[in-house]
Amino acid sequence: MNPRWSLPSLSYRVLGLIAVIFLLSPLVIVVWLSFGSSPYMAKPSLDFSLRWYEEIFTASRWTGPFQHSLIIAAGSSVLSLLLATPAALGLAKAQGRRATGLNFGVMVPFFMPGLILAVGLLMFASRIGLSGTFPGVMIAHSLWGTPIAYLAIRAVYAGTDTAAEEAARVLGAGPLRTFFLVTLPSILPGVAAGALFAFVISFNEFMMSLFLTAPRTVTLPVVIWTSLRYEVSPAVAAIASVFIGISVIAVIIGLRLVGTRGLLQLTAVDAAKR
Amino acid sequence: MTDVSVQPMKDSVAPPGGGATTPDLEVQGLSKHFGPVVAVDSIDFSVASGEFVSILGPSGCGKTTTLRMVAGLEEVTAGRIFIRGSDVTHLPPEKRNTAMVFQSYALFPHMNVHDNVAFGLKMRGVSKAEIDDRVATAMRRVRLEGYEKRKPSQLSGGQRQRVAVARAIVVEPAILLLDEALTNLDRRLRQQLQLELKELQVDLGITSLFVTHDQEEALTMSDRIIVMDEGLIAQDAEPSEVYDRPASAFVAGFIGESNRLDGSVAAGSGETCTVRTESGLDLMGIHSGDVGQQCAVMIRPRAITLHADRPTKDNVIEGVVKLWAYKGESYEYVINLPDGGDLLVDLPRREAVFERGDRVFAAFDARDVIVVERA
Repeated sequence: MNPRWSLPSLSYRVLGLIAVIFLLSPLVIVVWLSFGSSPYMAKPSLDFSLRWYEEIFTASRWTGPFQHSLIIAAGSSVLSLLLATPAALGLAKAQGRRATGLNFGVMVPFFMPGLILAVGLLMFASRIGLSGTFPGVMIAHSLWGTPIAYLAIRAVYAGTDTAAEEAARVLGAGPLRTFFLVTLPSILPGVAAGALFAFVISFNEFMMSLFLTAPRTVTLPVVIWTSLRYEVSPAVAAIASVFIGISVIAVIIGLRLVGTRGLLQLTAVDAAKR
Repeated sequence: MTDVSVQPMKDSVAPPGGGATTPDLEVQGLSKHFGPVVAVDSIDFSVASGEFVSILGPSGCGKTTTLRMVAGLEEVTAGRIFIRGSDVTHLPPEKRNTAMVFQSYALFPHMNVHDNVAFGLKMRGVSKAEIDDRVATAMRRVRLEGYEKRKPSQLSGGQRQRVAVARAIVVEPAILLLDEALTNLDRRLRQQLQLELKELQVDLGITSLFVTHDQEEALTMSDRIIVMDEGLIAQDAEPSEVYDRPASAFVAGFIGESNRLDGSVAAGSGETCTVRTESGLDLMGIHSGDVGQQCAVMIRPRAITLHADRPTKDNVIEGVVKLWAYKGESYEYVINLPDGGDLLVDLPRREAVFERGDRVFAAFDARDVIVVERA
């Protein structure tokens, strides 16, 4: 008998399948609802319509926040890269206690609850006049974007041959030219993946945005939450589907760039270090 | 972006009179400490123009650290480094006019072969026409014409190393630094590239400093060998002298196979001396040490002959054949000595006429007995 179909193996497969269905079913239902024509978030039906997509891409109460979300996600992604790239290059091949400590320092905001960060940031941001502004939210989101971009860049950089940078120096390139001509091209996949992950994290983020945005900077997740308090429109399902689509695409591209194994190995290394 | 300035030859620094030529590389009292660890301990050496010098030693002896300090990739703890007479001790690597070939090839993976080779010339602001010209010449030199458009990932290990060599020689560095440059290649390819590299070096007259742990490679390629051990220079001499007249037991043991017997100088007259080994053998050797001095005797397996009857030679030891092994060109014998020790003997194949258990006489000349001081 083929061992693949032996009883233990088969039961694992069935269990796995159930787990996948369990995890994905809410997403499937949301996407299904978004293509319905009923004006209520009713049971999924079989009539197909794009009216809710038309609404979210035309009605100003959705398009404004959509733009805000894109601006903030782009800004926080850039900010995350500016912070994460030097950190990753500096720490990727460093060893010793200080490097471990710094590594922990970069990663720790990622594990902080959004609510806690949001409360702290709100007090801080209002004191220096950043509350309700784009830069304020961008900075907040880069607290999560930076660690994830750091991991992606570090994973790629750790796999490159540092001797290439040294070769460039010996051949006459100064530190700046070495960075732009040799280092940056070799870590580009990591930088791209990091940018993508940071973008998606910011785009999806709710709690910090809720505290830190004003009407002229409010983001989509916040608008969804406020609108749900008054009505349950399938437009929300359409927006949710857009979120799911963007996240899935970003994760697929990002993992392609860094390599699933690279990222997993790196997180394992990080875990073992602590 | 004009931080590249090739260090000009400063003839004014050369000794007055102009009789002696300035070496291309001179290292004075060079030290490197990593925390409490002394990797390189105040060493001095120089490399003359056109010379090929190897730094040879086991891993951790400080040879790579020394090379990296010359390249400017490692900070110097103490001492000074002169390239063509000018002090480069505290210059960044890009201002030293060296070039380096790395063990890992260190090619730029996102550039094709042409751009890899052209990199150093671009950094020096050479015109495009001249770059193309010089890259083409370098590619011919390393026999890689037609590979210009390939990416490093599309090349074999040997081809990559050739590209790395082309990239280094094309800038006509004051000194070419090679860090275990052939170590990653398999044996046959390594031997072939040793010869190619040596030919190239002689043709171009390019001053080279080569770091290796492979004694055979160092013997084949070098004009001079600097043997390093624990951060110190154990010997700095021509290959034949390092092989025939090792300065210490370490050098003798590291370069080539040797039988080692410990003892002390029992008697000495002029150039020759008699060494009484710890097992009670008296051996004649060339040495001018003081009587009573602790020493080690090193005998190359090739220097020993085996005889069925006691021959008349400077040194004869009686023993029993313990085992022999066929080595292609020769037979290797292990002779069991009366004191229980073993003697390794390497005989040309025609002379192999002994079997296990045979009683034999191992003989060798006094001049083949290397006597070195023992701490």
